[in-house]
Amino acid sequence: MKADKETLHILVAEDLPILQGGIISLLEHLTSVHVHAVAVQSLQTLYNLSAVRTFDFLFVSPHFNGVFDLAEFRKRYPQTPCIAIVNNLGMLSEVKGYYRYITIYDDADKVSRLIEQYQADCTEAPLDSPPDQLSSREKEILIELVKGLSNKEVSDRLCLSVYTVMTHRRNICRKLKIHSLSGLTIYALSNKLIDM
Amino acid sequence: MSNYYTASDRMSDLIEDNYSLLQVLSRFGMSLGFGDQTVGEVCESSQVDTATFLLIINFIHSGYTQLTDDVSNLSVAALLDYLRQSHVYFLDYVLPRIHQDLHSALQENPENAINHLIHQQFDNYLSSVEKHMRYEERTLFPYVEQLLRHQVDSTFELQTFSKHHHAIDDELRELKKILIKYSPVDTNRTKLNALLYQIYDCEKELDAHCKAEDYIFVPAVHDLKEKILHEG
Repeated sequence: MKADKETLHILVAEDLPILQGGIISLLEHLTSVHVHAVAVQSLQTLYNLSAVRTFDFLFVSPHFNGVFDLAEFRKRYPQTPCIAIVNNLGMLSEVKGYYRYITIYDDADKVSRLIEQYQADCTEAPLDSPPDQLSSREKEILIELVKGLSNKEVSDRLCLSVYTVMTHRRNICRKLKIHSLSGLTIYALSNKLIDM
Repeated sequence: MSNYYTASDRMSDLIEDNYSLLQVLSRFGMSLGFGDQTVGEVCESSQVDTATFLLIINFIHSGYTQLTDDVSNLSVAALLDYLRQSHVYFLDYVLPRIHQDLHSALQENPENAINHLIHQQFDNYLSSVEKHMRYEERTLFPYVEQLLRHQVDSTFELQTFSKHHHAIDDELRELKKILIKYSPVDTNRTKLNALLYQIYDCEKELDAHCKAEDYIFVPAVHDLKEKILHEG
């Protein structure tokens, strides 16, 4: 299942090597999400990277390169949630303004839940996703599509609105995880929905 | 720090530790046979910027998780050469070879409609990789060359670049899935397995290439642009 998941891109800014390595390793081995985490050594690289792409999370020590200027980072990149890395309880007084914090006593489940929590906060809940089986309506539409008919032609033939056909089409692609017409044709052929 | 390679490490040790670093050497135009020379010495004699070389090999060696140096210390010109060579490697060598082997694995039953479609799927993939790389060569690379001459083309949007990589990745994944799930039963199994290994290797190498672009090249280019703009 993991192979098909979207990859989360996470930046890690932590000066202590063991802590930094540990967080990277923990993130990359999460089973619930697929993560690519990259550690940076300097503030300059942190900003250069943030300037050219959007990161899903920044895990950062409030003491990164001295004192991390959270307000400045949030001002420039408000879309990236910042998670404080707390390595001693004294630092808990410095986590104000961060989206959440993790401490060195936390386990992978805690980190996993935190990521899921954020994703739930930002996206509307997806519909109960049905199993990967196509419904009979979807099969019907797939058959028409792989014959080379356009959305409009399919909608005429099956007496549906174009919008409905497009929704079905999106669901078919999502369920099968196949997005090209030739790929869909291969699926239809090997499942004997059509023959040549 | 001993978990990173430095200029005083022996080049031969590096390769023995991690053979996938070989690709970096060849793309920088360094040949084997360096005896006991250190990384710094080999870089110098091959006229390759040592900091850039070290950052790339440490990035790959750490599983793309560590940027061990500031991207602002790198030679953008060296990175550009590296990426150009990397395009040549994929377009002239890796992908044509996969194409040939796919053909040979599927040709035993040319009548089969699925075989034909798998071919088509691969051809589509091939042309989108090529299109993507040619696009970079036409737009990004000239922009960077201008920067290297201290000229900034302000109409160019650097941010849009890394987004393209995702799509190419997805296409290869889809092709692989189709081969695994829907290959006709009469396909030559040995050839098909060998082919899948090649596709997995290619996927890994392409991923390494894209990550080097996204995490090293593009940020370094951004840094260079900012420096030029601040010089006024």
